[in-house]
Amino acid sequence: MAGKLIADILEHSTAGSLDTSYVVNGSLKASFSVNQTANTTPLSSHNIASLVDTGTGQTTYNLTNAFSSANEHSAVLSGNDASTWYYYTLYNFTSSAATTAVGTGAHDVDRLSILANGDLA
Amino acid sequence: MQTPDFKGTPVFDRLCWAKENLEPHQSDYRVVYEDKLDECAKILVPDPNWLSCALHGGILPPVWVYHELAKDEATEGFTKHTRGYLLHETEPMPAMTEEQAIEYLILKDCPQSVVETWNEGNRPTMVICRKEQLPQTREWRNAWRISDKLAAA
Repeated sequence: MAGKLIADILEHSTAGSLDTSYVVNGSLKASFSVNQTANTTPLSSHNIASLVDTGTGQTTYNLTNAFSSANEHSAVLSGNDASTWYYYTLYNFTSSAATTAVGTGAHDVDRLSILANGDLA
Repeated sequence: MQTPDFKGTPVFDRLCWAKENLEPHQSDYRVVYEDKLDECAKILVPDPNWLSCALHGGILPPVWVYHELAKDEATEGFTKHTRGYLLHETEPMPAMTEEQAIEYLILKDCPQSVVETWNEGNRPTMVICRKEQLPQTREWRNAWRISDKLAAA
């Protein structure tokens, strides 16, 4: 049987207390990793409905549970091949989607990873 | 496995449950579409965890909920979603077949302009295919287009 802990505050004996909303709001809300060189094959994900192969080095992700606004949708990402790391950028932000592109020229990578956080709708 | 009664449960919590309890399902289907004349064809790939939710049923909200939220976001002066409760409190979708799930995903994630006009031109601007039917290498990826040989339905 699964355990369940319901609490609004966590309190340490000496280090003070923490509202559990910090834990909930600070948790990762969406993530995925994908192999762009294999026609955008998803490797792992959470809260992702679909990925769109938008072109060389470009992947759009669509969320299942959108953020409360585009401004709340903050994400970091990285892309790498076996031995090279690539600088990526994100654009076309909405509350439920964004598109990645390689910062220095078009290139598909073996592994593109994204982590996103913010308040959900 | 029986899905808990998720009506009223935040969608994010349902996804956490699904991640723990359902096996991801890799689809062989791909949706190819063209939404801009001067851009290459886009290829929509269903997420394996999302697809397992769709096949299992009782987890995902109806697609009209996403359309309502998109309408809100397109409204001038939009700052923040205030109808997020639609995602969480609407009766979840029952189990779908893989084909129904792909149709749902087209309605959710393909541009509305493509969904509404894909068969109105000389050739279709949206095609559902199997991944084996796509080019097997990424050569000239930014020049990929839907074949002129396909007739619109």
